[in-house]
Amino acid sequence: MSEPFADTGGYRTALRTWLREAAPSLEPYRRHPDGPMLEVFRHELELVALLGNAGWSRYGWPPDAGGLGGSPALRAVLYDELSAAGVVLPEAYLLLETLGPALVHFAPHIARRELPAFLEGHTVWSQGFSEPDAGSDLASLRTRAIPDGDGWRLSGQKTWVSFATATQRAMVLARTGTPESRHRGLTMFWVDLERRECDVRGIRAETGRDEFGELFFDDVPLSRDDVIGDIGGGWSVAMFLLQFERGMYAWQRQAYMLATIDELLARPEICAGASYEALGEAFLATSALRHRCRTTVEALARGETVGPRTSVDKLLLAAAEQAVFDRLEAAMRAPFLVGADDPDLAWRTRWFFARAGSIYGGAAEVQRDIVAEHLLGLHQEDRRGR
Amino acid sequence: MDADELDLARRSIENALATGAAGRWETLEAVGWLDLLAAAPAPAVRLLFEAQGRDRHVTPALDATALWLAGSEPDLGAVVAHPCPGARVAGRRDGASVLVDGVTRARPNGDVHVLLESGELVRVAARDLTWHDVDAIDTAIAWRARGMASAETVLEADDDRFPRAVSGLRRAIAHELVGTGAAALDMAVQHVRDRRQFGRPLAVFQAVRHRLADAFVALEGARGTLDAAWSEPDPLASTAAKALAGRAARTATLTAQQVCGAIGFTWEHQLHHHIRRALLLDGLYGSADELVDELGRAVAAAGQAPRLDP
Repeated sequence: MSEPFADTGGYRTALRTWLREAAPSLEPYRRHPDGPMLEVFRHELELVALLGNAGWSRYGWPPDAGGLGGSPALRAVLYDELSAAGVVLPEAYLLLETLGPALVHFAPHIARRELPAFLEGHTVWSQGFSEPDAGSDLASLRTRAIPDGDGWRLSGQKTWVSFATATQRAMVLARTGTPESRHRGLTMFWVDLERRECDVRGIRAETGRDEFGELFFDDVPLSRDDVIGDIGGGWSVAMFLLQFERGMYAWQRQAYMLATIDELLARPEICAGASYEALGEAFLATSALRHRCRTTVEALARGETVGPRTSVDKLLLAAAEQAVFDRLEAAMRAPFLVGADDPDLAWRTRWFFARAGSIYGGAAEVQRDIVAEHLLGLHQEDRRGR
Repeated sequence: MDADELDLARRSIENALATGAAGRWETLEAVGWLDLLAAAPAPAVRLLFEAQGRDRHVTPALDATALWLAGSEPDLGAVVAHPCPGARVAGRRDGASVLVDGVTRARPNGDVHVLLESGELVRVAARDLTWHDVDAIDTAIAWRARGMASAETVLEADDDRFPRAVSGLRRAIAHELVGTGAAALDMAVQHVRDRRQFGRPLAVFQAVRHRLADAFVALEGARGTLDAAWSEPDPLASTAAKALAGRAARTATLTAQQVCGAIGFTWEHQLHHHIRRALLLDGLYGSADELVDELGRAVAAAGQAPRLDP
């Protein structure tokens, strides 16, 4: 499987055929396993490897980074079709889509090495941005890369790092400028978490799983080869990356939400508790998201900058997550609350995770600020330090 | 249509709408809106209905569009009876006659058109019906026509005609809902820029900014689904688009109500006209709540959530 596809239609048709033919090998990946995050993640990496080796997930990535070429929109088709076929989307793909485009764009020499390893399910990456004192106010971050010969030594701490304990590499935003330099003195680095100077610890979220974790850096040696983008240009890399986090990530989540509605429909005893209104609301909110982020994904695939417009996508994403899971919870109230013999306690985990949709990747309040300032043109009169 | 042609069309339509009420419709005809409708229905409807929503003009656009969607000659002077809010149809066959109960923008001297659920398009003499001068919440609807009357068949029954027409009308109305909501939001944005209290414009207060942002997001969510609905064969896309547009217009107009304070509450202020238009349009061809129920039924019947792909 390596012939190029001229358009998404041809890819979609071929993929659907393969999904039918490969159904037996996909069987283990049709159910949401409920267990510790690492176990689930490793299980899902088997599917990542399967899809990478079969070639399907290589489409939409550049050939000189180990891909099979074609528009990035092909990746959107993959995620949509997998979900529609009842296959659970590996969470690893969320990381791939958040970090991959920035890596390919700003550090092709690193992408050449790392992208194939990810696509084959060997190596997973995480995003080290937030810190205990720098969440919404990311520009205040303090993890520093201190010049050391031709390179730097990285010291500091990152937190709220999604799936941290499952990852071996991280894209880290660090301060190379003065302490007061805010967003102007930042550089993005690629860090090998398997180095002895790095320590990775999980944080148990209210879902019961280690959804995220912390990265501790103790004089990690970094060279110029580890720089992503320009020295001092870290903020631009972060802004570029955030577009994809809201575009393709949101696209994967909408596919996942439609699949969640499918799961509900496939369980008549649970579905009996769902009113038509509930199903309609869940579907409506997901539709609004779907059409919006399709437009964003297509714009990004054409190489356009979408910028602050993606704050709309992020707000629609949070609304859809909460609409789907709140309706679900209402439909399955008794088993959701007290069902001890319900094999799908994963519903509860997933309901809790939906709460985070308005918090991670830029809290909803921040997104609303961006909409007000940049999309409605309501410029702030006093800009205290911003 | 390329970007320049679209821009020219948009400006022609906006100029025509800006003409005084008496000449507006003739001007639209003169600038060739009917030709544009035939050649490029999506831009034609979007441009006209959104502009109409913004400016709150009352025009025969919906009636002309209904005829065109049904497959008949779109006549800018024609009057079509639309289903009353909450009803599915404006008329039903009863032997040689048709039982009519619908709402219209005007009381014609000649005939009124009714599209039946069978797909038959009929023409009924206005004088054969009883006309009630209704006090609708908005001027877009002025009359209710009822009665049993003999009907002339304009187009024979056809299974596809009614659902296709309803889908198209839902899109057209959705465009107008987005237009009226956007205009209300613009009013609100202008108000909070101008109005100063506590030594600052209202616009600096985060609570105000966030409410306006939510209204903007709702309108954008509606726009995306609506634009996609034109090329999506599944009528559910149009159903979803109208539901989102109805909700968004409600959110935008009521948010504007809140941030515009006391002055926004006056009769003299233009805002209440947008609230009224949004309410009335939401009620035609399926309110947001009714359509959500319809979506839920369709999803349940399908056994899987439809993947709407433009």
